[in-house]
Amino acid sequence: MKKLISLVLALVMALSLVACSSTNNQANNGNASNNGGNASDDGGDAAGQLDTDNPIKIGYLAWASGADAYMGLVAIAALEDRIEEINANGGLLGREVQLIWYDISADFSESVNATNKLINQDQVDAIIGPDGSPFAITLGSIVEEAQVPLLPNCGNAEVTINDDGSTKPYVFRVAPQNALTSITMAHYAYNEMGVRTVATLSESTNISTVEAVDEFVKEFEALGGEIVAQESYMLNDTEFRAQITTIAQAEPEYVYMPAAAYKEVCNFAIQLSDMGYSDSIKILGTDGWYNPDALAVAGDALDGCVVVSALDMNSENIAPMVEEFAEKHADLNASLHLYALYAVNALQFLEYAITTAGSTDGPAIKQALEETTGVEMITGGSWYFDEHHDPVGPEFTILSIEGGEAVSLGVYSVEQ
Amino acid sequence: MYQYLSGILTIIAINVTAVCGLTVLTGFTGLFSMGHAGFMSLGAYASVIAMLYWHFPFIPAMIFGGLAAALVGLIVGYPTMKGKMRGDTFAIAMLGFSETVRLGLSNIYPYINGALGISDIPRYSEAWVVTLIAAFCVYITYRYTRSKHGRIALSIRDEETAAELIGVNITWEKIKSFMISAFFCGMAGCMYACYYTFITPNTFSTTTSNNLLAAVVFGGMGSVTGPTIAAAILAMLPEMLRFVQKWRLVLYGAVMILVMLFRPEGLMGGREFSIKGIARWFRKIFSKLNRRAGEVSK
Repeated sequence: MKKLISLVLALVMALSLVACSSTNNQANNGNASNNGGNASDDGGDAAGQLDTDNPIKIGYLAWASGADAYMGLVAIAALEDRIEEINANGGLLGREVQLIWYDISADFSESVNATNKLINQDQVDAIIGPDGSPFAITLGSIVEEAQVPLLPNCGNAEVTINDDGSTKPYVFRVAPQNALTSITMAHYAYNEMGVRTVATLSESTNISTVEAVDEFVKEFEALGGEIVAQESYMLNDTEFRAQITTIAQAEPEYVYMPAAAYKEVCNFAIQLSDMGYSDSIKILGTDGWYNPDALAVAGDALDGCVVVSALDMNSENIAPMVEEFAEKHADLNASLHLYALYAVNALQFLEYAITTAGSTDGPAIKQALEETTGVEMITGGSWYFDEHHDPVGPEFTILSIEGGEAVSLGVYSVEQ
Repeated sequence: MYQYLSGILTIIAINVTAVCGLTVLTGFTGLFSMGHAGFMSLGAYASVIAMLYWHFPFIPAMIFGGLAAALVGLIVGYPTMKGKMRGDTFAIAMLGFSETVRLGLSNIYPYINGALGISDIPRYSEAWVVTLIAAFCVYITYRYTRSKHGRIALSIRDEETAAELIGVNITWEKIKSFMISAFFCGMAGCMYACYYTFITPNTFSTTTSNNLLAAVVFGGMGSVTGPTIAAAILAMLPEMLRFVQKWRLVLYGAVMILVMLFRPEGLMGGREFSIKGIARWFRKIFSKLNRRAGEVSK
């Protein structure tokens, strides 16, 4: 009996391998979000002419499983909503738009595998994501060779720039650089809040948080401020009392914590409050963890924290989107977040580029993206790309957290 | 299509190379390690430094990475083996080792850029090159385990005290297995760096170590071809399971549980994969079926 079951298992494995390698389209259908059906139902005349045989395929590299699956799953839902809207309005160039997403959360090599699969097997016209810098840095040469534009929503400088300073021709970043976010926070803290002593807390092996802290320290010290303690924690840490003790001894006014996900910040804030330091030490944060769910989890513990974000979730453009999303996707049990909005912004850039170029050719889309002088974003403002393919247009909003709500203190930019 | 499949083949070859090392250490010498990702990391960093700063070509850089990892293997191996660490204590010591490597590398900025990692590594790991290297490594491992050294290792795994009584230098033999495993993992680390073109200390995590160990146990202790096949299956599985979307990694874990439940000795047990073996297996099945058919007709 045992042998029989083992044999069946082995056969299932072998068969699924054959199925995967021989029938490409089957696997794709699993992840392809085909909204054509809805479109022809709701869209009237425009959707009636929609070319569904020859769809425009947009790939998305998602962090869609594990503890931080909310990052990818929310973005997928937001992109699908937007695509549904596009198809209802007649698609792009009269063609239906399809989203094909793959999860990349198992290990680093997955972003390369998934990108190769999107390009070679699904033959996508452009790719959105990933939202993690270590996953995006390596993709420049792959998309360049295949001439497929990639629009990652992550912040490390090397995502768009090679070591020799040249720009990766097919990579266009749709989120602000980590350095810019940190510099803005340093200036706001020093000049506007009058903060003089700051401690920093970073995830020791996370490229984005380490880079953000480095940039903050450089800028804050250059302004005349003092960094009184530099602490770190490890991936998936939930216990911060040791770091809090060290930081409290250094007596900083604020702790700069540019975490990549919100659970660390919530734990830190709650433990800070438990240990009785929540009145004397507050957090300076970034949009990496700024999320309505974080405020719900941490409750009052985050009160008094100041966050710099390239999008204001309370703005008149975004607040209704957050509400609408919560109603439509109650099953996800996660709020619309900033990185999902960046992904939607990337899709908007692609809509613009494909329509302007009148083609889905990689080089044509690339040229249209490079030449644009501004695309009106549904999140507000007009964005375009500079010579390094970094977005120009996102304005940093400073938010203060009061009573479990983020209150906008207005737009702030560093004077050059 | 070609690039996607060659990408998967590359990952398989890298996994197989690393697993070859662990086969010698765990499958044949009986030492469980939960930290061999540390050696992959060291090998990757050493070879990348050799390539970027000293302009080594790919293969010499890979061997350099392997040797660097083996040297660290000697340094770490001597006190642990001398201290007669084995079983759970050794596994945990290795877990500590890989974390030390990860955090150590995160804090060293000259040459290796700390947590920010090294980018723009040349993409030398072509599928056919790494497949040839992996095949060569499997062959070497097979020959090694069939030699006097392999039999000594097996004697240590099965009955350490008896092996010591007949005059086997247990400490040295264990260190030897350990260094060989570190060498293969170091080479695999180099191949990975030249495939992914960007490495950070986080690239080789505890999950990597666990997957390597899983491949050895999953394939069968005391077999070389078993872990090789298991490493290939475990590398392909996440890609094969993409059709179940976000449930993919759950299913991956479930398949591992099922296999271990129904084949606790692993895919191949202590045997090796061979055409003759398959023919024998089929003959056995057919003769059983024939006998059953005979019983029914009676």
